[in-house]
Amino acid sequence: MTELDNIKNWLFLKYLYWQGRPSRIKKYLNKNTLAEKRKTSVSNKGKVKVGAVQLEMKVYQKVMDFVDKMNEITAQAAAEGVDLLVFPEYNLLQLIGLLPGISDKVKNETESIDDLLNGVGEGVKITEILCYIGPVIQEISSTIFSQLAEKYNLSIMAGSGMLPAEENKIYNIAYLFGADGRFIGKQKKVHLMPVEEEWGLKTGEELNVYSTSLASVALPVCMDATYFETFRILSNKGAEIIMIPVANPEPEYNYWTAMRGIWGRVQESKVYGIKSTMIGSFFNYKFTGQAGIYAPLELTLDQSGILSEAESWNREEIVTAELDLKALKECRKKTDLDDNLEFWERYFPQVYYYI
Amino acid sequence: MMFFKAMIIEMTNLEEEYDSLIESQRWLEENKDLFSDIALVLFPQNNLYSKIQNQAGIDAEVFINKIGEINNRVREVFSKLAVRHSAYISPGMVLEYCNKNFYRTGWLFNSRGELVLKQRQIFLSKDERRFNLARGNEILLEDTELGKIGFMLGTDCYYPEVGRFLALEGADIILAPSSIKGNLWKQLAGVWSQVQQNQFIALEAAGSGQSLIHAPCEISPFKTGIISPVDEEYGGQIEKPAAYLQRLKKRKRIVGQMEIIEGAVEMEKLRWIRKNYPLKRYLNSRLYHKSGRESLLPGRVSDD
Repeated sequence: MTELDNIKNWLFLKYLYWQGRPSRIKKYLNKNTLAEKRKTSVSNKGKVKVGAVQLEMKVYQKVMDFVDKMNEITAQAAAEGVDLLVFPEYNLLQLIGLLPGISDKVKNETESIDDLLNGVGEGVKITEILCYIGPVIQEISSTIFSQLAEKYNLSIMAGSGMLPAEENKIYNIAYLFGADGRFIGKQKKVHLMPVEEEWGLKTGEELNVYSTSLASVALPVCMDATYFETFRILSNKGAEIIMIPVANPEPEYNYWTAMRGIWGRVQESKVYGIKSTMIGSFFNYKFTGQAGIYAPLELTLDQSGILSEAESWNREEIVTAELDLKALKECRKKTDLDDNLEFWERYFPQVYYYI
Repeated sequence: MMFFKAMIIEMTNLEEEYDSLIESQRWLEENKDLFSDIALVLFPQNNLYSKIQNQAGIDAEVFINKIGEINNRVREVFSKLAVRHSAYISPGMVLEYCNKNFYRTGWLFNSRGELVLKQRQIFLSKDERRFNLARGNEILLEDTELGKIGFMLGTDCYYPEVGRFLALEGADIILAPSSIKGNLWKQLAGVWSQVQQNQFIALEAAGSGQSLIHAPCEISPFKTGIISPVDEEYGGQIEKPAAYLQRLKKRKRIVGQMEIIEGAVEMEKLRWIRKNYPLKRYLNSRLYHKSGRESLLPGRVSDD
């Protein structure tokens, strides 16, 4: 790469940062207030209203178009009295459209990511592109969701994106913002899908629980809900609400396969679970829903473990439910659980050296 | 072995301690043609001991001797059945007395009538703890021509670590006799959930629920995760599971006093799904070790 190329790249990134500068976004949102600021809902009654977003994947060439969409959804949630709003996996990846030429390619369902990379150049890896654009996406999306959270006075889990951390390694990371706009924390995906491993993503090695004014919450990502260990560790660390952003590449929706993750984990761990879903297509990947909010069986009217679910698996919706934290605490106290330390001592750690 | 047929037999109207055994023998003799090509049979958790368990003030030594008598009878009956039908047969769970402890133990006989697998229940229900049953703390598997067979007994199905360690030890086929009470959603939270996150086959003889033969969703009809029974008229994949299970109750085959669930297990498909969706491969052992054993134990929830 020549010195001129380096300068062009630097200028281009500067341009993108300028497009997504905080003052510009704030000004835009002030002009486009779609709902009243929520009255502060304190969880001294022990109840939290949550919203799970089912969102159609789009790739945005302009920052303000993305802001528009996120504003529309957040405003709708605020109008419904939602305290905590959860966006899906790859929500932040939608900003990859800021790179010239990407948007048209993404819309072409016959085109694969490998086709894109081959078109860019020989040996180019997806992680290189993500390392390049990732810091811009991180900064812009942080600004957007921080301002939306403060504007409408609700906590937002912004969904996740494939973003760089630590020496340009790419992780699938979810972000959480408080109702005052403050960044609360993040969570790297700790169990990858095979295709993410092929792309070169890394796994996180920590599971975090954040104590907020609403509840103790956690935000592992998608595939993490396939493994009971995720929810067991988080619930033992005190998590009451576990948010799972999902982008499920299942071309034909199936209720049973969709049920396999969070629903089962909620029953095992006695927590509330919120599943937000990405739908639509991204290159030749097709994502299907269904967003939902789940609870231990005994806390649901029909003993199904389902508080609320999207009506469809392929349309945009916001699913809401009120979570009663006191009831959860009572449920946990009443849950009969046995202990067998000898069993665990016999099998841990050697059984987890399987790999 | 690439393919075999398995069967779960539900015995109805059992009351007396030996009647169920005599009835089983008689029924199996009368219907031996049903078993001509069955390789694996599971009976549910039985009520063989209820009569003596309900005797108030029974002497401990008498109780232990009676259990021994019943178990010897079970061994005799099922050993012969296994030989007669050239199949692996499990009578479900027995009450085992050993070293001054009582255990709930799963038994498996091979086609030579040998008792080849004994697995003790690992996690106990409140009632079982009240009766001072002891816990097993080991997972045992029998390596057979069908695959590696193990047990998930009673409430073990609600402890995901049991399924996980079974899978990591190499289990292919799980026998899960139980009599857990609760609705069909509660049942799905047990063995079905374990099968999906561990990718093995399971025969669930659910005395109070719906007996099912389970498999990973991708290799089962309509991707329900249930090989048998099946409702061939199932129109779509968006029907709620409990409603589907309710319809499956009418799909049981009733032969005399027994209800049977029979299904074909294709081990090649199991190998295919494990290869293409290798869930075990993506376990994050560094994370689990870093988090520490205490963080993985059940019921350590901090409510502070």
